[in-house]
Amino acid sequence: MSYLRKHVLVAVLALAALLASILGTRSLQQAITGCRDLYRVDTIGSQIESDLEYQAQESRRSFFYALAITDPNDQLPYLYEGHAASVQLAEAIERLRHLAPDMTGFADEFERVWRVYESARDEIVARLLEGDTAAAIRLEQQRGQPAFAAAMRELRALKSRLEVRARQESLQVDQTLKRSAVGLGAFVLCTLLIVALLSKANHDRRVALESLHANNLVLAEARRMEQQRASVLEMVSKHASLSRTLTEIVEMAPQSNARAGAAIWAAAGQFLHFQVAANLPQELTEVLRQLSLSRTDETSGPSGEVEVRRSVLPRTSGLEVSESRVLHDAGGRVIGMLQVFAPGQDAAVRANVLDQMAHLAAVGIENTLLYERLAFQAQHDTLTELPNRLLFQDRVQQALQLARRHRKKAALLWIDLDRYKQINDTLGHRVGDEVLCEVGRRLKGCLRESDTVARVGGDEFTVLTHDVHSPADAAMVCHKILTALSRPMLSGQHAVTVTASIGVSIFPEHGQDPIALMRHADLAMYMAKRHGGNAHNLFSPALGDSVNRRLQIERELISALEQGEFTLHYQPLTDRTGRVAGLEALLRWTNATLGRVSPADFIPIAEEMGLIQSIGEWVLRTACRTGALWLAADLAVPNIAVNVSAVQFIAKDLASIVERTVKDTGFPAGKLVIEITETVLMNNMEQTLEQMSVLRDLGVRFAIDDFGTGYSSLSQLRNLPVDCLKIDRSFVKDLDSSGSGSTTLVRGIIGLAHSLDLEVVAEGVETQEQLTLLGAMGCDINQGFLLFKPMPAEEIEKLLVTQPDTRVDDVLSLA
Amino acid sequence: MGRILLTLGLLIGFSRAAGVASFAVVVHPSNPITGLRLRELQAMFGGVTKQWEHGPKVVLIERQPESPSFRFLMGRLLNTSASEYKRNLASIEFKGETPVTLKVLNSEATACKYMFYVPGAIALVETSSLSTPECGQLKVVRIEGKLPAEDGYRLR
Repeated sequence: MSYLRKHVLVAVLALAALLASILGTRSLQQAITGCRDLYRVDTIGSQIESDLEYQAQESRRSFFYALAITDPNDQLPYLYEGHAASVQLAEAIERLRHLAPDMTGFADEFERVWRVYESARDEIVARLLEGDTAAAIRLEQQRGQPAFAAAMRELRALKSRLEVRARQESLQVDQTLKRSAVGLGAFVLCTLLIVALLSKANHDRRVALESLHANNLVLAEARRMEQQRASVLEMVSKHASLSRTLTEIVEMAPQSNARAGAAIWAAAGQFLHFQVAANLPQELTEVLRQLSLSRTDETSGPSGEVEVRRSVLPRTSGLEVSESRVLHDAGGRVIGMLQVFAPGQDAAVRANVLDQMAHLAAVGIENTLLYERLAFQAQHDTLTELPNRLLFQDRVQQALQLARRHRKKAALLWIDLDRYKQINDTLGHRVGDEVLCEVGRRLKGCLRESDTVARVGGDEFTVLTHDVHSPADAAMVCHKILTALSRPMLSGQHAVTVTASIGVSIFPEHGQDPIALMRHADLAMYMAKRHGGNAHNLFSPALGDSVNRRLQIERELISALEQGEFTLHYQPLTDRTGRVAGLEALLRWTNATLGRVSPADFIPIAEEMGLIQSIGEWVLRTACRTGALWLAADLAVPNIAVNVSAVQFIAKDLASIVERTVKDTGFPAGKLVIEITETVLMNNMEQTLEQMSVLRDLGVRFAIDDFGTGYSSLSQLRNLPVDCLKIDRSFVKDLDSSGSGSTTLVRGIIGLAHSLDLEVVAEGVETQEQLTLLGAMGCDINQGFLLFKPMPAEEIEKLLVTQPDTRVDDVLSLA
Repeated sequence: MGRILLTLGLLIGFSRAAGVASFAVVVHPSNPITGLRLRELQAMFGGVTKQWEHGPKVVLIERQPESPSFRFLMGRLLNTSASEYKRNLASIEFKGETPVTLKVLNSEATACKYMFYVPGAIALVETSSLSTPECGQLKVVRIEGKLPAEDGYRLR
């Protein structure tokens, strides 16, 4: 029945009940009124009987008693009683008038008749009391008796009248009561129906309220669970301790069911270790605490879900495993377990609560594991899982404190793999990574458990060894490491052999803090590597100075070009007549911090740093631009020689750079001489020849610098587009008239060059004797301090002005 | 009426305080008479006057011979003795005259009650009895124009 129909029915019933109640009430009122009238009639009748009739009879009786007595003293009480009865009779008449106004006429008539009687009676009494008994009797017979009889008749008439009326009233009351009963019955019926409907509605309402209450409870629990979930997630986000987080979670079980307890295991290594429990007996908790579950103890159930064998769990204290959840991380790996304990095996905690607990526990544990992993990764190398630089420094710091306290020594080894880049480039990064991992393992295998191995760079490892008595102990460790690394490493199909350069610094001699020790070990390693690698080197303060200067040069060199710190000096070359036959551009570097730095110091560093290309290009462009200016000034500009390093040749674009430079500056390519060393030629023969051919086509000339120090193939020399050989100064220095080896060698070179139609330039001519001998041997051109020192461009310009007849074109022919 | 009763009350109180007894003459309330001469009173109690002027027979109400009012009646009002008084009344009856109606009652209250039922009754009661309910309903008659509380009242 719909809600509306219910209410309509209730309203109709209520209306019917109202009408019935009105009808019944009115009938009841009428019945009550009738009853009241009936009662009144009855009361009046009773009063008439009890009061009027009785009092009248009593008055009459008293009168007769008085009449029968002669002693006035005895007569008086009866007379008095009779009088009192008359008084009460008058009062009864008055009440009759009051109770039954419609009977007033009857009352008046009765009173009138009674007054007649009383009048007669008083007169009779008076006669009697006066002693005239005969008169009294006579009056009684004549007046008293008739008057009393008349009064009694009136009284009976009144009584009869009242009885008739009572019957009428009674009938009316009966009818009214019937109507009232019908109305009230209808009212009761409707009321009962309404009550039934309202009771039904109330029942429905109560059921709805109970349902609502249940819903509210569910909602409140859901809200509480949400708050707990938020609280747990906040704890997780703030990296609260795992036990605290899991305690918060595990206490959700007894909150859901007071009889339920729970415990959580979390993964640590290959096992699940007990973490927390809630609402469990201490005895059971202690048993659980001793229970570590192997993560390999898992088996796949029919549904594919991982289960943990429950047989391993204790069943004490009357509690049994009610529910269990295996906790997985995002990757599906088992990271923990949640178990609920209850007196029976039936589900003690609702599934959604249990799922929520399991989810939160999994999140907490996974987060903790992840946090631990991140913490590990923050301090370890991800590839080799060795400590990284940060952790290594921390451990060194701790080791130094201990060593300082116990007055012990410690050694720090800086290990750099030799030519690791080649392994990466030729065999790939995968092999390179495997090599690094294997190196890490071998290093650990060479050391004590208490020592520390760290990976601090791409192919750089560090080792901290405690309790070293002397540098010799460190050397033994280095030797052990080098030996271990020298064994071939198998990576797939490749057998790789690596060597390493090791630098050693000793605490406290070489530094008081980790940074200093590491820097000094690095410097020592650098020196070992410079000496060819596969060696170890102990740091020394002198070594430190050297390397420090090198590092300083490296630091300053980076910005030297931009700062304009480079300049070019030109050293004139003279022919046998002493005229300027050419100029060699020589690079000079003057730094505000380092002062003047020798090219021998900074050129190799620039080559290693990869700066030599830009520097070489600057040299080339500056020399060409200067030469072009001199030409523009109509000076007799000889050929200008520029040194080109091997790195520039390897870069493959040397030809295009030269072409662009001569084009930009307007300096004739035919006046440009490029000096290259034997090493450049021999190491990159094919590529160098290609570059030289292009440049040769431009008109550029070539001279082989420092000839005689390398390993030139004379057969190939013949095929090279070279125009000049420059004899190395070491040969010129040893020239003497006694015909030493150097003199013979120089003579041979000159002869060889001439036979190949090449010019010969002798470098480093510093004495007249050398000049004389060279001239005697037929050397074409001389270069050295005896003749000209390198000079700035301005001085060269002056020199050229003073020798206007010197023509560059003649330089080679002068030979 | 109230003032009269107040005066009587004061008189009674005064009389008692002074140790002087006084007596009042009372009649039925319906009796129209307001006052009597002392002689008329003596005639009534002496049996000479037997009927009131307005008609009813005079009914004498007396107390027992030992009562103060009877002694006052005999000694002060009629100046005779009780036996003489009885003989006189009996002689009246022997003479064939209308006999005197005389009622002897036991107490002042009974006397007053009795008087209430007899319109022609007259009695001599102590003024102290006038304050009782029974006697208070009766009518007090002036004697020689004076009430018991007034000066010169003769029945003291």
